[in-house]
Formats: sequence, structure tokens, C-alpha cells
Amino acid sequence: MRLHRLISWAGILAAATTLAEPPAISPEERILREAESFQEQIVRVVSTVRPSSVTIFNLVKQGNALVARSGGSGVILSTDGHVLTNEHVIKDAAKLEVAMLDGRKVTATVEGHVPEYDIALLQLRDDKGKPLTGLKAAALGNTTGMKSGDWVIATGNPFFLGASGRAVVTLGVVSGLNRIVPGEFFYGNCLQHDAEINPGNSGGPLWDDQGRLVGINGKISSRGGGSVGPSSSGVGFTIPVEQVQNYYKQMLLGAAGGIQPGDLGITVETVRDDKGKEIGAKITEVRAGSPAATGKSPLQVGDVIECVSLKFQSTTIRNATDYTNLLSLWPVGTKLDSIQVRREKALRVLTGFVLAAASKETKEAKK
Amino acid sequence: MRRLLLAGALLAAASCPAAAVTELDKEFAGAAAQLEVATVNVLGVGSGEGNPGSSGILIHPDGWILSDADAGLIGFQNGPKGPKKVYAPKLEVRLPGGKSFKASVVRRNLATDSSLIRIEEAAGMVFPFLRLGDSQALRVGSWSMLCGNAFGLSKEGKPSVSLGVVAALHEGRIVTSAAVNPGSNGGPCVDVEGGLVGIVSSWGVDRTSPWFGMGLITPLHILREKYKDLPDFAKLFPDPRGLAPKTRWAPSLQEAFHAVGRKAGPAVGSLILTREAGVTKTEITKGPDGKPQQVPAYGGPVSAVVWSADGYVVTAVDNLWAREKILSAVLALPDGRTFPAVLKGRDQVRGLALFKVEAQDLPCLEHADAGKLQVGQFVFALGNPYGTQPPGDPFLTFGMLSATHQLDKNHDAFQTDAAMNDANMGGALVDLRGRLIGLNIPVNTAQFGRNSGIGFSIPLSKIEEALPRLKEGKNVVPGFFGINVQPDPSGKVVIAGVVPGGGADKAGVAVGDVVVEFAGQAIQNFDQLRALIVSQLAGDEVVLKVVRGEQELELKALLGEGPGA
Repeated sequence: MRLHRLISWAGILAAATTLAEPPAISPEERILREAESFQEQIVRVVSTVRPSSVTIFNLVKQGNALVARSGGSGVILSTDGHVLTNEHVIKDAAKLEVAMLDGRKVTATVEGHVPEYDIALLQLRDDKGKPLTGLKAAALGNTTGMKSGDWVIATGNPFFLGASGRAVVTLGVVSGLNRIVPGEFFYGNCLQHDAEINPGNSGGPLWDDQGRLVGINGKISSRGGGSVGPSSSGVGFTIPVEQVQNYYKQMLLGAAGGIQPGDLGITVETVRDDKGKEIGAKITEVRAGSPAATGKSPLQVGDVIECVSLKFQSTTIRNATDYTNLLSLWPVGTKLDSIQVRREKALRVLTGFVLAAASKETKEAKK
Repeated sequence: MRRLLLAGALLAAASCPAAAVTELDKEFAGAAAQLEVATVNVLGVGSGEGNPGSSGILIHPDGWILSDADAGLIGFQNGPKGPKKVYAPKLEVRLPGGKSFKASVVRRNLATDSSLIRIEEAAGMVFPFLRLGDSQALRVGSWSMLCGNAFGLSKEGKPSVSLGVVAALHEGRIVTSAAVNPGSNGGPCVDVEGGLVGIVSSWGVDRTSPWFGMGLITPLHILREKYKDLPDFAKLFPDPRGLAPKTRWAPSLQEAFHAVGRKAGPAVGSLILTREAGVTKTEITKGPDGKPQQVPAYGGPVSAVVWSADGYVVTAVDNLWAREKILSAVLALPDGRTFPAVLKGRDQVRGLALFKVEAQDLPCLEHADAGKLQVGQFVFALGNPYGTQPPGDPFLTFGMLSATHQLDKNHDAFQTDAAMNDANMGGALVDLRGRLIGLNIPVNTAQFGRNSGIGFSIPLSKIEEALPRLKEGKNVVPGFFGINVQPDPSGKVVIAGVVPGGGADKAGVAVGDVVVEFAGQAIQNFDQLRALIVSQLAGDEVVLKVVRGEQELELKALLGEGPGA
């Protein structure tokens, strides 16, 4: 009896084992499931980030009425209603309205902005003017760890197709990093990608494949578009999240006319060794009265900048672009730890520089 | 202990897909890194500022470069047969990082839009280079990664990388969905393994071609033939076939893409439509003076989707063009069969047209469950502009479901960033398993441009709604109310004119009336009223309220067909 029972237990166990074995799947099915698991992850990222992507309406006065003349996109940075967008999205607005994924439409006020760099920080408010709370804030990533070919996701309001607050999502890869795109708004150290962004995506977020914010979209290069205006040609530019972070505190404090980018007051050009290798940024001009000219140990024309240290981080300067990219990240008042220059073959480490507002010439040179 | 291990195993299982995407990123970033360092900018010495030149790719450590036939182009000269291209005798090759070398063209081949360039005074130098890949192994749906000096952006650093899929293999060319722009020409296209499989020729500039707006690439195996007689051929062009894959994730995803085309392709047919002589297709674009102008557009076979095995076929109503008469229609399937097709009806509201062929065994598509669609999921737009000469695979582009729109009761749309153009409108939008999601419809190109990542599809539910009337041979047209409205700054909708015999006229609407309610909705402005009117079908009855003097009146209107319908 006992033996019989044991055997039957064994029988049941064996049966259970057989049942638990997964049914055989074809190679094609295996590939499909693998592809679907990728897809699921992307879908998960999209559903995580979409609530933080908002649509912005720029209302202007027309007679007695306020009408939405233009607009763009934005990204929620804090649970209590800070929204990041582009200066050019909110410029000249009589009123700002923001639509969210959950269908809410609320008003927003400008907290602070960096006009030259096309960055603006808004505060979302309820109908009594109080800051909104309990929002889904973006998780922050970084661009320094990104490489060309990495997947990115853009969310926003192209052509007002996200007017309901439900952001439109597009997929692409990083095309290039550390780009400088001059113009009315200067984009330094920016990321280029081929996720399609169009008029209306401005101010909207770009996310990495884990759903972390890497920057905000603001410009495209377009080879044409329709008869109405430009459209995506797969070349979009993103203001890096690092730049935004560095200006965030100052934007919260606010400043009339906006926050000024930091500047040293010099002009540089790339220098190469005799093999053609880039070795630094050579100073061709030091403007009178600028931080570069007035420090304890001023910079001089002919100095070759090799390294700049600030906030306990050293950045190697191989060329003029590196210098411009680094400076674009920091606002007025930023203290540099040191600048390492080669002056007539001697290496010098100079200190005592604090970034000031850019002079007119510097601003002109950026356009 | 056992429990702990189990928890660990569960965690590992849960994080597995995430790791896979990170691995995939590494594979693409790895390929991009090899691509970036070997992609160069080729300029004619003496070419003006603002000329981005060509891109090129180093294929040998001694400094040999493949580029396009325009490498070194510095201008045009008027000749007896029109403008002739003028090339600089000496080239400048700029490497990423700014190093620059003198170079010259060894051979320029116009037939393949390619050139072979050699860096001069490169003795002792070892250049980074890209190994050759097997372009004959490419299939529709294969990854294609491009690199080049798009818009001259690489001047201050690295060239631009863009990713897409092989959308078509047609007439000795690779058509890609990856971004191609001025300055990208001459740059490399690599396969999933990072091997060079082609040289970027241009983006499709011919508006009458099905590939308008798509990237065009000369495959390496075709280009190779034109350099066979060179003494250095064996050194420069080793046979790339038969290399084993080195990476895992990207190839497996690509295999799934191939399968999409294989599975769904057979049900995407080509309609060859015959119209009255002299009728051509045009579209509005921005002219050289910046003003809108009308230009010829693609007029070849159009895409259509087999709806049922018994011979019903749907396409985008725009494929019939405006209201020109269709004299005859032929459906050509990828399996080579052709059938005379009869136009049953047009639904101008939802945007589709129905054709019928005499058959009982047509290949058709499984339907995706609309309730399970998710924004962010992978989608594929399938088209068939091939007519009676199908190459085997469909025209396929890849993207994601960008958004779902509920516009009004007759208009829902799926939005995707998969590239769409005149050649795949009327075709199918399908999921990873090749199941039908919707029917691709055109975008307003005047507003959205071409290939700008904005594409729309009609959901299956809307097609199903439309079919009963179309099968009876009836057209569906938007309701016509027949009013003119005087602009009013306050937004009030004041009737300025009533079209005699129209729905408004028959209902008793009079000049001076203010429309305050239409179809149960309070009216704030004309745009809102217009949206409500166009959401009605001819034959619908609506109730509206107007204020006339001190009085509010309720009127009933039967909407008719517009004057041109």
C-alpha cells in the first residue's frame, strides 16, 4: 500500500514536470517574442514619460480676446509644477496655457528664463493661482554618457497634433554630440538626433532608452517641408539637460530680463601641432574689462588654453569648439577653479576668474 | 537560502528585457563609433564657403575613399547640352577631428553615382577604415545606418549618424528610411554588422517617383563591378560574403522585421488605374519664390490592401485623386496574379475607397486587436507601387505608434513616424506580427511636408463602418449645410449668406441669424461649427438653434451633398 502510494506520488510529480515544460516554439516565434520584449520595454518607457510631456499654448491679445497664436511643448521637472520649455515658445505671450495627458488645461507663469540659450522655466498653476502639486516629474539623465547610435524618444506637440495634451511620440537615434548651432538662439554642446521633430515639438523632451530626460528639443535643420513651413528631415537639436541643471537654481530665483550666460571675454581659435593634431584653444583677443582681463593673473593674447577646471571637474580643451561648449553650460557668477594655459611653452595654472555677462561683441559672434 | 536564490532569479528575469535594450544600444553605438571615425568630408579645392561638399568613407588603411560622383563638384558651366558639372582637379579630405589631406579622384563612375578617391602624401599613415559588408544579403526590413556631413554639420566635429531600415530594393538601388540630407551624399550605409553595404547617392528629389523623399543608395555589389579592372581591386574590394554575425540583438530584431514583410506583404497589392487621357497628378509645394506652386506628383500604381479573400480590396480615397473618372482598374498581387477590379464606392469622409475583384482565394491579413494597441509599439507601413512587376518584398518602413487621435464621430486616426509617401498610402499599417492595424492615408503635405515623421492610418473600426454602404455601391460624402458666415471679432456666428437649395436654406436659416447650437452642442465660434458640419454625412438630419432678433428658433436640417460631390 505504502509502496503503491509512493509510486503514485512519483507519477504525479512526473506528470507535473512534463506539464511545466514550455511547449516547443518555432525559431520564428522565438525571434518574434524577443522582438516583442524589446517593444514592451519601449512601450513601458513611453507610458512612463508621456505624462511628463505637456503642450503649451502661447496666447496673445486680439481685440479684447486672448487667442492661441502659437505654442509648443514642455516637460514637467518637479512634482509641484515646474515646466521646462524654450524661450521661443513663450516669447511675447499675454497668457500661457498648458494641456496635460490627463486632459487638464491649466495656466502657467514664467519663473525664470535664459533668453539667449532658448531656455525657460514655467510654473503651472490652478485656477486660484496656486502652484499645482502631485504631478509626474521627469527622471533626469545625462548626455555625457550618450553615444551616436543610442536610441532616443521624443515626445511633444508637432503641428498641434498634441493639442489635447496627449503627446505625440517619435523614435530615433543620437546622430551626433557637442554640436554648436548658432542663430537667434545659441545652442551650445547640444545633441543631434534623427527622431522626427517638427514645428510644435519645441521645448518638448528627448528621452533616453530608459526614459530619462536628456534635454529639450528646440531646432531642426530642414531641407524643405511643405508650402506652409519647414518640417523634419531627421536632423533635430536638443539642449542638453546638463545646461538646464546648471541654470535651474538661478531661474528659480528669477531675474528681470532673464539669466545671462556666463562669459570670460576672450576669442579663441583651434591650434594644432605639426602633425595636425588639435592641442588647445589659442586666445586671439582679450576684451578690456572682462573677467579674463581683470583677474589677479589675467589671460593674454597668445595663451593656449588646455584645460579648464570648475566645480571640481577638469575639462580638457582640445579646440575652440570644446571651449565654447564648456562655457555655454555655465551662467553668470560661476567661479572657475582654474585655467591651465601654455604661455610661450611654459605651463601656467591661473585662478581667480568669475564668469560675467557677455559683452555685445561676444553675443554678436554667436549669431 | 533557497528562497533568496529564487528571489534573485525572479529579479534577473524581470530585468532581462531592459538589459536586452541596453545591449542593443551598445551594438548600434558600436557600429556608429566605427562609422564616425572613418567617414570623411570631401571638398573640391576652391569650392565656395557654404558648399558642404560630399561625404566619403575610408575603405583601406592606406587612405582610399569611396564617395559619390559629385565629389569635388565646384559648380556648373553652360555647355551646348545645358549646364555641365565642373569638378575641382584637387580635393581636400577632412577627417573627423579636423585633420585635412590633399586627395585626387582615381575613378569617377556616373552610372553608380560613385567615385574612388586616394589621399596623397599619406605614406606611413594608417587611416581608420570600414570593412566591406555583403550588400547582396540585405533584405527589405534590414537595418541601414548612415553617416555623413548632413547640412555641413561635421565642420566642427563628427559627422551625423542616422538609422533606418531598407524600405525597398529596386532597380539596383537600396531605398532607405534613414535620414539623407544635403551633404550626406557619398557617405556610407552600413548593415547590422557595421559592414559597408552602399554609398549614399541622394534623397529622392523626383516628385513623380515612388521614392520621392526617401534616401537612395548604390549597393556595394553593383558599385564594385565598375572598379574591377583597377590594379588595386583585390586589395580594396575583398569579397565580403559569408562572414558570421558578431552581434546578437540587432540581427534578431531585424529578422523579426524581415518576417513582417514576408507575412503581411502578400496581401498588399498594387492598383493600376487608368484615367482619361491628359489627367495627371499634381501637388502644391513651395516654389523658388517662396510662394505655393503646383507641380507634377507621383502618378504610378498605388497601394491597396486585400480586405477579404472573396475579393474586396481597400485603398485610400486620395489614390483616386479628386473626382476624375477611373476608366479601368487592375489589381496586381505580389504573387504575380492580376485581376480586373471594379470601383464600388468612395468614402470621402473616412478617406477610403472600395474595389472588388472576382476571386475567392485572395491572401488577406489577420487583424490586430485595437483594444491592445499601445503608443510606442512598433509599426510598419507596407506599400506596393510595383504594379505587375513585384520584386518579391513590399515597400516597408518602420516606426512607432506615435499617438491615437479621436477627432470626431467619423474620424479616428492612428499616427506614426514610419515614413509615408504617395507610394505607400492606401497600403497597410501592421504590427510586429504582421497583423493589420489600419489603412495608410495621406497627410496634408503643404502643412506637414514630406517624410517628416507624420503619417496617419484609418483604424479598422472605421473601415468596417464604411464598408456596408460602399459594398452597395454608394458613395459617402461630407454633409453640406450651405452657409456663408460673416467674420465677427467676438466669435459670434452670424449668417451672411445661404446657398439656395442647400440644407440650411431648406431648414429655413436666414441671413442675420446667429447660430447658437448645432447637433446638440453650444457654438462658440465658426471653426467649431465648421468642424461639426464636416463631421456629418450627407443624408444626416441635425437640429440647430439660431437667434433671430429677440427669438430663439429650433430648426431641423437635412444635410445634402456639396456642389462638387
